Amino acid sequence: MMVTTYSSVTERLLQSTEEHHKIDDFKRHIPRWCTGCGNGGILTAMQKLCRDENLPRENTVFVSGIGCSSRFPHYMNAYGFHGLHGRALPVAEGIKMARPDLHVFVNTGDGDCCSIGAAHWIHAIRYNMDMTVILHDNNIYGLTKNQASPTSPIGLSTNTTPRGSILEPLNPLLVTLGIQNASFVAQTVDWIPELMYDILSKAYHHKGLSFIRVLQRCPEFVPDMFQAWMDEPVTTRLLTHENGLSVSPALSRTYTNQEVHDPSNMDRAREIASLKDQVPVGILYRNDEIPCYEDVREPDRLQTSGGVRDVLEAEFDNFTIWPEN
Amino acid sequence: MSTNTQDLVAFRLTGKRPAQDSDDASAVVANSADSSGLCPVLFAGYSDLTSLRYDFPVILINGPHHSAPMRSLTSIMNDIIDSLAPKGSEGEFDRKQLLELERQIRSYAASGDKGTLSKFWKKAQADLIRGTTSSERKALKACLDQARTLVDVDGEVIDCNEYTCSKITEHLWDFEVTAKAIRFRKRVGALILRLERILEADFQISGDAQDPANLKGAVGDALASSFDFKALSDLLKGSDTHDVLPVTRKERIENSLKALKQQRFFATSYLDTDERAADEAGLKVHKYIFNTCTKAHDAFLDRLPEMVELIKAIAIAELEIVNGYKDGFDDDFFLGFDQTSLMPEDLELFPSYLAVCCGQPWSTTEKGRIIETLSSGLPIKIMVQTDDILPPSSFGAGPFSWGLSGAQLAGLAVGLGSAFVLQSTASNLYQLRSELQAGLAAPGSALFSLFSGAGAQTSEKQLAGTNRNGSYITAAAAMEARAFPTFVFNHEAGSDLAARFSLLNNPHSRSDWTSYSLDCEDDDLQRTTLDFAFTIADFMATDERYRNHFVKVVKSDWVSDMVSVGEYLATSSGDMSDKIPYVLMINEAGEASRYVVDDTVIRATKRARDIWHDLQELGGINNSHARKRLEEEYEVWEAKKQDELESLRVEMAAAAPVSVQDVNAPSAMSETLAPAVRQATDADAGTAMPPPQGAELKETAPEPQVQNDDPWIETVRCTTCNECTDLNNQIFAYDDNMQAYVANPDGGPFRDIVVAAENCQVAIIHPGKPRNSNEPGLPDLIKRAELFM
Repeated sequence: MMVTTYSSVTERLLQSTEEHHKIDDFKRHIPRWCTGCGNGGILTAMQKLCRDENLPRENTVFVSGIGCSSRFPHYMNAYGFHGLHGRALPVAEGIKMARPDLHVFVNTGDGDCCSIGAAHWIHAIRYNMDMTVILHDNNIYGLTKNQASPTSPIGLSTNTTPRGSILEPLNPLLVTLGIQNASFVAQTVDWIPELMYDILSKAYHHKGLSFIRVLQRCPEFVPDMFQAWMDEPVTTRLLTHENGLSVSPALSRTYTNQEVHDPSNMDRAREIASLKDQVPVGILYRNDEIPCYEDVREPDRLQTSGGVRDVLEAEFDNFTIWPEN
Repeated sequence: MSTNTQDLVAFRLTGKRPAQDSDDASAVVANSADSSGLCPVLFAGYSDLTSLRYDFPVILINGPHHSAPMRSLTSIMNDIIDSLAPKGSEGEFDRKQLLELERQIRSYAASGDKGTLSKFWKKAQADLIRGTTSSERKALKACLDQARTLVDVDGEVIDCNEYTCSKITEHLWDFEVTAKAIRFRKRVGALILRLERILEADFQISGDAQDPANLKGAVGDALASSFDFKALSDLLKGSDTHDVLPVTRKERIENSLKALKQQRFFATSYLDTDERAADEAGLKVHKYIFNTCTKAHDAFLDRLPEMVELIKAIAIAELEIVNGYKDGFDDDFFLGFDQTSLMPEDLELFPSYLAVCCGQPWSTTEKGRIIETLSSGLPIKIMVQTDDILPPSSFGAGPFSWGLSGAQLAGLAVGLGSAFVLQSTASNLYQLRSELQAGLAAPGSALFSLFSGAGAQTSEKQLAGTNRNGSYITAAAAMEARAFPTFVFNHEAGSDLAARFSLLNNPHSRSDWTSYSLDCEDDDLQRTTLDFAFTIADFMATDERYRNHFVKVVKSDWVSDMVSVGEYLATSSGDMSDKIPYVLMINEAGEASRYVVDDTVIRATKRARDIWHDLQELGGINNSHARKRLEEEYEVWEAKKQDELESLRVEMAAAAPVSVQDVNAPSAMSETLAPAVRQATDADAGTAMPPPQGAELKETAPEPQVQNDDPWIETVRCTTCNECTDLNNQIFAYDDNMQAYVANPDGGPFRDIVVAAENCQVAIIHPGKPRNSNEPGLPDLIKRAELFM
């Protein structure tokens, strides 16, 4: 015979949501990324975050576009939407609008986000819907086998730029910081797992759109892209602040180049984002006061089946030609 | 003592008016009939409130989407002036017109007109334009039209009168409940939606969905002739079907849905046409505002069973939508769930009940029910309006005992300690709107004891020919005079009185009375300053019913023994029996006079002061316990110091004459310092000192000591790139954080470890020494491994 162990309805309902997960609960399929790919570190950090925040899998969704990084939803044991090239953000926005109770994460690459999806990127920042956007930036189109992306550096030889890329690369941090309503902008690198996790965690807890650019290694096509930064820790500038990151003593011994940066300082954030000889890692900017679109435009009526049907019928009627009797 | 003084002292002691004893009335005492039109000197500056910018009128803002449920007209106009009229001469014209418009609207409200801000604005604008010349008209219209566009709120305009307390309380309650209704609709609406989708999905996989008629309905009329729905049905029914919902679960969902749709606690207009079950069933939504506490209490009890059923339905729905309902386990719980199972957090889902109790006296039953409700913690908010704090029934019949009806109730409620309590006057309600909202939003019961000022027996002549708002002035004066002090007691605000109790907004709250200075002319037309305290005696003088307790003394007969009431009461020692207390009053012409008060008024004033002292103590002012304790501690400290001084004197006497060596002799002081000195000496001598406090915090965890002979990985730096695990998943494995470690150093050849170290892009694998000395190619491998040691 079962015995009730709770004394109130609230307690009972809390019990129903008390489900503790392990990291394995969020694993799904064996990642088909190349050995040594930086996406593995991002995936691990995300799975740790889901475990530590005890996210209900049925209320968590990963949305992606097209590219190596966009395989991400396949490897997370939660809901996922592997969308069209460049269209991860509008899909995620639709999901958030319809189901604001869901935890929404977006995985997009430098080609997916900064090229074909650039318009959606700009407006997603402006809409500031509560979601976490991870830009997997390896400076190359990897899935389609080595073409220059918007963030490829000058001189990079690829299939589409055999004599070297000739355009100045786009700086995703500067672009994001230049868009109205940017509320959380951070950068990290896949080879410092501790900071990757910390920034991901801060981004998840931020109310609004959190944009994280992750510099991610592609050992297949641009294996030396970030090697200099990896070999010389002093070229990595850690941004610390009481409202940003706090770095462990062990990491501080390796990464001595640190700057106390107040994330509310937009001007300094732009200066840091413009650095070329160093790679800043940390939270460049955050503003918790910017309203979220889904809160501002919260519908006052529920989208019931009947309501949706009525609206669609009325809309179709506008284009229906009724035969005369 | 002169004859005049004797008469006044006799009046003070007995209340017997000298003029009434003889046909030849004393020259010092004016006839009470001359007192018409009198008011306390404090009121001198408030003869026309419409020309003053203050908290009234206020606008009760329509709609739940504004951050503020009410605003004063002045604050709205201030915003407009700030936006429209630049500071300095440039904005002078606009500023002047806007202030005139404000005065005009204030005069409408003061004269009893009813309407919204938009209506009053339109009327005032028309009146102002009508009174201007044609040359000014265009500029005035442009100014006011532009200003109108800046007003983004509208609502009823109310002045301070007998309806103010109830209107503001009901408006704020409605604001609170509307917000709660939005949350409720969102939650319950979402539950209905999701439960229906479960049932809809169940239907779609059931056999019923595959009936020809249903299949035809799904296709639509346009293409109906293209299908043989019977054949299609037979085909589909022959295929494998999914499991449908168990009957018990389906029934549970249907019952929950029914209860959610038929609930009567909130309107269901948020639902779409096909979901207005409650309305279609003719169910009326409950009302929550009553004119007695008894009715509110009874309504709450009557609706308890409905509340229980709705809470159960919501809980079951919450469990069902996540498929978390456990048969048997939850059946037992919900079967036994009844009124006794309700917890405070369950009640927070529902609107609170509001009892608006105006007009006294109340029946014994009602009084008892109020106390019972305030003790119970039920979500019933009680607004008790007092119109008259000087009721004639208790005055004059023995000891002076006015003011009990309103103020006593709030004091009693504070003593209960189980309810939110706010006491205020109507004049102060706008200032206390946040506290009023807090009380309405707080769980459990609340008492709002409010004095309207509308029932005072103020002389018609007093207000005749003026725009003085009697209710506002009376209410404000009651607070100024400590007759109806303002305070808030929030029983859930903290663990002690300092956090729970607050003497909000009472002027000069650390003093017995409020004190003011007034500039005026003397008989020689020279400027002089009147300093006075505003006491309850002054407040009582505003009431016609008690004029017999005051007699006027003309200036030529003032005597040196006359002292103000404040001064009279402040003198705690000395014989005051020959002193004559008075209050300052002004007549219609603005002339100030002294009015002597009798002992009855003095006793009442003392009593009110004592009540005020009690409130001060609750608010942490002049706390008698703390003062007493302080005095005791001071006495102990004083005695100890005296002893020490005495010891020093004895010591000094014994040591005289003092030698140089004696100066260095140990003393009480040097003994005190001895440990510190010794410590410093030890330090100088190089003795090991304990580390400074906090030094250990700077120490970091020691690096893991790893035997160089064993392979190891800096696991925390692993980026999960799969290089090593793909190479050899026996040697390398992932931990609980999906970061690599050496699981089994003997799980493969030394070569694999060296290759993994070479391939690791973040260089965190350290191969150590080979474990099998017979492995081929070892010299080369050891050389390669040395790079990663």
